[in-house]
Amino acid sequence: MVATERPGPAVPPAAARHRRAGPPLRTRMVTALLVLATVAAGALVVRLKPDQEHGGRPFLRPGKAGGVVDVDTFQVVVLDAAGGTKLKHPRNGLTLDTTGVWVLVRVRVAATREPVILPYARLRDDRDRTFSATGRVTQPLTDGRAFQPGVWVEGHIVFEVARDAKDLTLLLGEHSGLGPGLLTLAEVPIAASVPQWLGQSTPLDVPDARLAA
Amino acid sequence: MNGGWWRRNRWGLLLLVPAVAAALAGPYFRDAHVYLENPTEPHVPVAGAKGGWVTYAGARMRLDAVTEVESPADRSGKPADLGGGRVWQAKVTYETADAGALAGCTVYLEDGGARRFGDRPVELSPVGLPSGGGCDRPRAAGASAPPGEGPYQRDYYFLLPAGATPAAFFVGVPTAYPSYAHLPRP
Repeated sequence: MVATERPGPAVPPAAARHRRAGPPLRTRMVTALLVLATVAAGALVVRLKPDQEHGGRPFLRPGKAGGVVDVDTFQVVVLDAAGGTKLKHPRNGLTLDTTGVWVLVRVRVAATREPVILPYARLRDDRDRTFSATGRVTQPLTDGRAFQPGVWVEGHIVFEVARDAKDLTLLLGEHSGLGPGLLTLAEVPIAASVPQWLGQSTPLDVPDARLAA
Repeated sequence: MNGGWWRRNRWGLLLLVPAVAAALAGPYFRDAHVYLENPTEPHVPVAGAKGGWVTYAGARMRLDAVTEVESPADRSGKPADLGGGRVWQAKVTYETADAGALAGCTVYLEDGGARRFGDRPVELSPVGLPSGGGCDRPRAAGASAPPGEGPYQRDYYFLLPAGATPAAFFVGVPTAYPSYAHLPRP
């Protein structure tokens, strides 16, 4: 057997064994800074981009108590409000207690173009807390009643709010899925005096809704 | 890369702008079309002549009459307090071979200002009106009664504010949206 020399890789010339010189350090640093700046700008855009909740927030149509608030599909007038710590159940007459305060907001409502249902009723306080219309009694206005165009109906919306709530504002609008996304809401401050109502222990009545002349 | 490359590719670069715009906007065209046309809402009227037949949703229909209910009374016989509003009755005749053609229909009475009023609103509950609603053939008494044939008539009741005058009748069936039947008052 004749030993043969294996062919090995060609040996490069000495000069070629050195790595090819890259860009200067300054250029590399500028490139790195540009990459970091791009990432930071992207993060900023993501942070500043409105989220879904913000994009779907309701349009608010502000008004004043006693005046007509036009909300495209309906009109509402907030007449007054009453409050207390006890409520007379409109069906069975039993007295309902609360650890908060009962608030009855008297409103007058009519549709504008076609029948409209207004199940979105909230009271918002000075700390942006919102209180739904209570489910402990049947609501004369917001439990599925269809308001007709030009036919004014007067009645109460019953809320149960915290004792420390201040500066209450009524929000009223149409139903839209699970949340208030892309709703138009009437936004009307009410003349509320929660501290005074805390001392009101006479049970409040919830009159039936009636047609207003 | 030098000025020669930009010159050689200038048209391609210019065309790249609308191409990228089309690629980005294309997927939203369908959504925009659906949003603008909104096939879930009735906004395309199928109208007929006054008192004439209209073919809609696999059925024929005709507004026979719209009359005011004089002196509506509550269940105790006293004049009903309707806040100055007036009660109107509409009679509509339907004809269809398909018993389910008009299932889930919505009806409105329209006034001269194109406002739409719902059938038997809760405000009319104190008034002793006949029950009813819908556009299907009235059920015959007894579960074993055979379905009727030929045209049939349905009655509707509406509360309109003082000064409003009925002008037309609306029939909408969700499966036929965005079309709806628009029946002018005879």
